[in-house]
Amino acid sequence: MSSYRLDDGGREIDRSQRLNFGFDGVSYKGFAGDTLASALLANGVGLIGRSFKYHRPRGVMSAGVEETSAMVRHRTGALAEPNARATMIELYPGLQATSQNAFPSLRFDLMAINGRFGPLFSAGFYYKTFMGPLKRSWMWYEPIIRRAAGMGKGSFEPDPERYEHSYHECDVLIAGGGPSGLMAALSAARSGARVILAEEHAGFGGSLRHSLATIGKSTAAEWVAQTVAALSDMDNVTLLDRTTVHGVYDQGIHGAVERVTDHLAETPQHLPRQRHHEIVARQAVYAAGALERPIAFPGNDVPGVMLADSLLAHAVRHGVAAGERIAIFTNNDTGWQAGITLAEMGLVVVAIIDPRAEVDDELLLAGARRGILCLPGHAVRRAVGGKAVEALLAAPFDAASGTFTGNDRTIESDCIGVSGGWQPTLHLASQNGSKPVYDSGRALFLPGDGQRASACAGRMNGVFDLAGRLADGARAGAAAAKAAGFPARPAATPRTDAADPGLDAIQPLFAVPDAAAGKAFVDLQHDVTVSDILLAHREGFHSVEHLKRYTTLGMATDQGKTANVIGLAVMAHTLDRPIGDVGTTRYRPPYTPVALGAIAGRSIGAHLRPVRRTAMHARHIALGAEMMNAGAGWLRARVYYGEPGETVETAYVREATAVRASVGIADVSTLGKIEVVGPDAPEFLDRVYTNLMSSLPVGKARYGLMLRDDGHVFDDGTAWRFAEDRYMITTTSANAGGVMSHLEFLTQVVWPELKVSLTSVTDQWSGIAVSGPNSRKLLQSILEDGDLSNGACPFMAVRDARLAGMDCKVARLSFSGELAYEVYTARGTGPKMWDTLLAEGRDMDCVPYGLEALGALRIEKGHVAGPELDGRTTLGDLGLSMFASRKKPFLGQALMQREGLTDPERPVLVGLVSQSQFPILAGAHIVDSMDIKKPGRSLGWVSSVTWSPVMQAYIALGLLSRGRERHGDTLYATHPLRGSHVPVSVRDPVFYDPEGEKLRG
Amino acid sequence: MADLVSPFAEVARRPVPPLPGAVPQVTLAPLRIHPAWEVQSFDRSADAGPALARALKLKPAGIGRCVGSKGKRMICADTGRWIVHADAELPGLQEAAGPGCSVVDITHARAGFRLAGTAAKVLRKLVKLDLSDDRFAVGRAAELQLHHLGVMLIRVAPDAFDIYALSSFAEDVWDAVADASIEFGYRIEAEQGF
Repeated sequence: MSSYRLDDGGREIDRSQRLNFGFDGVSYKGFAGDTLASALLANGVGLIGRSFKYHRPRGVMSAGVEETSAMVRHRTGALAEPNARATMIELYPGLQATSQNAFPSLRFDLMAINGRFGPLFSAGFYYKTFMGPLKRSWMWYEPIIRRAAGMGKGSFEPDPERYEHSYHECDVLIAGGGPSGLMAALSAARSGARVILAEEHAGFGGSLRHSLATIGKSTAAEWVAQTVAALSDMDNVTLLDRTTVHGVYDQGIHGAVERVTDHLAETPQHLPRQRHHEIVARQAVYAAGALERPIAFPGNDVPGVMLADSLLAHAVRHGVAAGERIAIFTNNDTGWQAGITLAEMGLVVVAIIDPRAEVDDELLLAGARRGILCLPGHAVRRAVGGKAVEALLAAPFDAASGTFTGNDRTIESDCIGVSGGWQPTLHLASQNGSKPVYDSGRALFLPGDGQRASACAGRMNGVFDLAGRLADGARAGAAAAKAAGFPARPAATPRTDAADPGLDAIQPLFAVPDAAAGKAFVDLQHDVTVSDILLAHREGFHSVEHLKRYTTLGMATDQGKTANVIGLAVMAHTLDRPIGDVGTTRYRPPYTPVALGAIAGRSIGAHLRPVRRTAMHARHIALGAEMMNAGAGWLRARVYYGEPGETVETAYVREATAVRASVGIADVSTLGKIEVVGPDAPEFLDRVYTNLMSSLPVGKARYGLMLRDDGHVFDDGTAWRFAEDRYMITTTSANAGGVMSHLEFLTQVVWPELKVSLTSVTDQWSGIAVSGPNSRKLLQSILEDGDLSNGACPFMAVRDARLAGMDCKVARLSFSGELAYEVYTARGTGPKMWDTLLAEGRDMDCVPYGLEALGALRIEKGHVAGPELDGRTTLGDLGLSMFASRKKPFLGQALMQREGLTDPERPVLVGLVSQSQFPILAGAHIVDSMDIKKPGRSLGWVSSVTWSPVMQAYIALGLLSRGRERHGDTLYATHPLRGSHVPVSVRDPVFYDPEGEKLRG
Repeated sequence: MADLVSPFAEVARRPVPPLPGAVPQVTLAPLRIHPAWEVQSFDRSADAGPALARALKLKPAGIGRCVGSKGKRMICADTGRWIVHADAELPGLQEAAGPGCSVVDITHARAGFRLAGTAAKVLRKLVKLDLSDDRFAVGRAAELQLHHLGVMLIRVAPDAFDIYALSSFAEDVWDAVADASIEFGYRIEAEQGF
């Protein structure tokens, strides 16, 4: 290919800023304002990549978002982005890109051998061929096939770039900043609406960026600059360039991606690479333009075959000639206009080939005047060339019969600009409910009815002349503002001298006759050919949805922007049905690929999910705690590594032993706490707890359980009565939010007549469990006011006290089975209380203990917790039936008595002791077979496990069918996945102090 | 409250990223822990707001509004639910609210900080609410989601918002807001009153 830089021109490049960049390791020079595609063309680089399936040479085929061939790997290392469109990459100093899908090199690609076996690799080839001989053969073939086919490769490294989200509300969103979009924005903004104008390219203007028309007294480029400046000055307008509106979602929500720093050599630390905008628009105007459509002919993928309008775009924007001898193949007048304009700019246009027998005389004259060979009534039979176009073969063509009627003639050409018509970019309209309607006269689909709170404008609306697009934009903007509740004030439409040819005289031609004889590509990115479409037809895949999936037409990263209509037109022709009857597939978001990083935004790493810290968090870290997520976001101390060389197991055993021997403290601030206030608070709690809470005396606490409506246990905790009409209830840490929601639903919806209110006070308090035989002694050593003696503060009492200068609530509760208290103080004073207890307890060998020790102690005591309250267990299962009051009704009471929940075979809570030196694994099944390979039927499961310092054995709690009848039996805790099969003896679940003497002492 | 450790005690120790410009456009300041209560009407259809406002010597606050004066402010968070902030104890609050309302101390349960400067632009990255000057004017308040969490947002000045979160989440919410402020450059200011 012999593309080159023109001596002058290129309105978007700055010839004073020369930039170095690299492609496939070779250094090139371009200008600021180039795209990677234009810069490569300027350097005569036509071969950019290899195709998906056949590894055919591919080059630039467009100048914009529809690019389907020039796909590269942009940047290197962790920053590498595969399948980036060279036409959308703005050139910056040091840019590095590499070709894709070629080995060992782009010019000599071994896998190009696939092209020789093209007839084998037709649609459905893999499905038909690699299903045998064995059932699982596909598993063997798949990795090999994936290596041979496919597109770019990711970096496999974490993406170091920053991505952000942004949220907007506006009255009118305008997608597309071309002539109609700019006019729509002007109109809507002048009507008073808050407007967001999003344009996917680096600059506004759309097709005006390479238009030579004048608007008013200005050039198109000047008019764009003036209009953008006017919009910038308006407070009610937000301009977003480099921003692609990629999808429409419910309630007027539009997704858009802004490429904030993709065009910079280095991302400034304070800016994201991309920003995902969520835009809620009351009305939207889609002014997304139209895409030129190719024509399928053999060799239409050879580098040098491009869209006709893109030749003009590269020349006008970047001063680049895509070839030294350009031929145009067009079935409509816009192709002629492109060719004639290129010739006027000084490029060599050798021929314009048009299947129409009759072409406007003025065009023929204009072409002939510039020395262009004008061939009406001809069509391209095929392009000649491998890695670059060398020539084309054209032949007389009868449009009426759709056949070639004469001999080929060879036209020497290195670049073929094709225009098969234009297709409005319907994606957003279709996503927003519009069903496309076929306009057979102009051979394009238009937006149909059904669009929600939005309208189309300009080319997207089927208006192709510039004056009409400007007027249509002004109309659409004003109408959108009016629909959003503003008085419509359409902006005055400027005059233009543009003589736009329009599409009225188009001769529909999607694929040349006999295209299937060679490789005539419909979908270049997925290597879908005309013959693949015909094969799909022969095999019965007639519906467009089936056609798409069978051939993979339109399923590549470009989503078939230039391919889909050709594919369904070929199918319609084969079926001998009108194109409109065949219909289109549903356009789905996103319109262009969206980086996963942009969707994730800042919800990654430390920001993935919120974490919850107690007031003593820093204290735990300072004490060497290993912190763990303990549910509901809480970070809790698992163990404190107090001595060198400690493991988790030795640490928690040391901590639990110290608690039983003397005293330990644990941070229990995470327990859910809800203040329940009101004259009906006692009645409310009686209804939600299984046991009576109305009879609880002031100054006392009571253990309680809540059931779900279906009779299973929902949560457990304690209720503390502060006053006749005021309680505080505690919940499990992980389930606090769920309990609060449940209770709020009951007060607001089920029993609104109850005078009761709920307030979450979990974070009002710092809670410290002080456990062990010396706990009272420790507290009394810092007691300044109050009485914590056994008589004044018996088991389950709640007392106000002043400890070390801090006002506290002290509840005599025990989770460990020891004499124990929970001390609650204002959240912010928790650290001081923690420090005080540790300091005062030093003489008593007081230790901090974490979740593992907490678990060991409660398992020894047979207390249930989350693993037992797993939503499948009942009061009866857990041996807690005594908490089901017979004096009053409560939630879940009726269904807890149903047959399934009172089945004597149900697994019930038991204690298990390992009969070997091996630990029992949580989640193990309990079986009666000693053979791990034939464990037999599961009799239950292991819920909680620990090493017990008291028992000097691995112990567990579990749920075992007919468990109470099996006390004394030896069974097996089996975990085949982890190869564990441990003999266990079954016993009562309370291993420690079954009479409760210690906690009452 | 001298012994109180602020939920934001750790954030001041974190390094602040380099400023993108000469001057930080955003400031973040912890709000000093102050007395606060949640007042709820048992009967949501009975509007106890005017009586409560009278007792606090404040103008009544409609839903989603915050009214304040002289070291007190009252936010109507929802039908029959108010948050009262004060710079000192209000011993007569239960009497003021009347027997039809509950009053619960939430002084330590929620923690707030003030975001000032190009605050609306920062919040645009974090909350799904129209924060334009006319839609969320000074004196508006809303309970909404920020960083996956429920927070109370109060616009206290054209360029300043108070953000209250559950105290245990406050540090994380601060981190999310500080992270969103990096683009504009931010400075951490000393603890201040609301």
